[in-house]
Amino acid sequence: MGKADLGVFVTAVYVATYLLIFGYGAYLLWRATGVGRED
Amino acid sequence: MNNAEKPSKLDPTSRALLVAGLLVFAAGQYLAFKAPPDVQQGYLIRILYVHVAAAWVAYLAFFVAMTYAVLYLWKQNPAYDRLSAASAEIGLVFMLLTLFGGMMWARPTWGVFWTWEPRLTTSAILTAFYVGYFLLRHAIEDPEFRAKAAAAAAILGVVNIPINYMSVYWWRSIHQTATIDIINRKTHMDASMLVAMLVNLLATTLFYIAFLRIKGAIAARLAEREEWDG
Repeated sequence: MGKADLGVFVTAVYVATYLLIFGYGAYLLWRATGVGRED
Repeated sequence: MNNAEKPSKLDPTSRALLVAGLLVFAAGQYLAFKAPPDVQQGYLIRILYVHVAAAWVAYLAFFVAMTYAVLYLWKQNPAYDRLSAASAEIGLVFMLLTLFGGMMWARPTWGVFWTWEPRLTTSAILTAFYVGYFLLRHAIEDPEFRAKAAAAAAILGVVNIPINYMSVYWWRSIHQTATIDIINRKTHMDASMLVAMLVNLLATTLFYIAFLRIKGAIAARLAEREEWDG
């Protein structure tokens, strides 16, 4: 894997990881602040 | 209007933890991208900063789930059961991230996404155990029996953590040994890389505490509403 490809690969891993963490956090906030209430 | 019907707001402590987490996270990203490349792995080493942080939070979350499980069995307070389940859920999210980061790191270094070596195998067992924990919770309808069974599972699940951590020392493995070797009190990295890793550990820990508080509050509100409806 070339240096440029490696940079893209590592960045993609970071983006995917933080998408999950912030996505999960956003889901919890959505539920907690009343917007995501089921009733 | 009962408490379950009140429009809820995020409590100030959780908000402060999230803001602090975001600030430390920004610093962690700066330090991770400023840290030098590894002699052998080059810039691929940057995956370490997210992989180790996720693994640390998963361990911490499962340990906290066990602590609340013990408190539930001792005090019989349903709030402890809710917090135990909340921590286990966050732990499972971070454990899945650990597996994902590890697989992405393995492909360019080992040539495969997955191999059944001790650290990966015990990580898969740890993840499968907590998937089973939530299957167990969903399979039992009686709240008291569910809480007791889940508490037993949360206590049993923690047994996997030292096995997972020590697997790189106990068995022949292609996985590197611990970056922070608590057994021999050594670190196997440059000081600037260590600082970047610790700052990222702190950021994910702050997120974990905030998530636990928020998830716990959601579970408490749902329980209150069920009690009101029931």
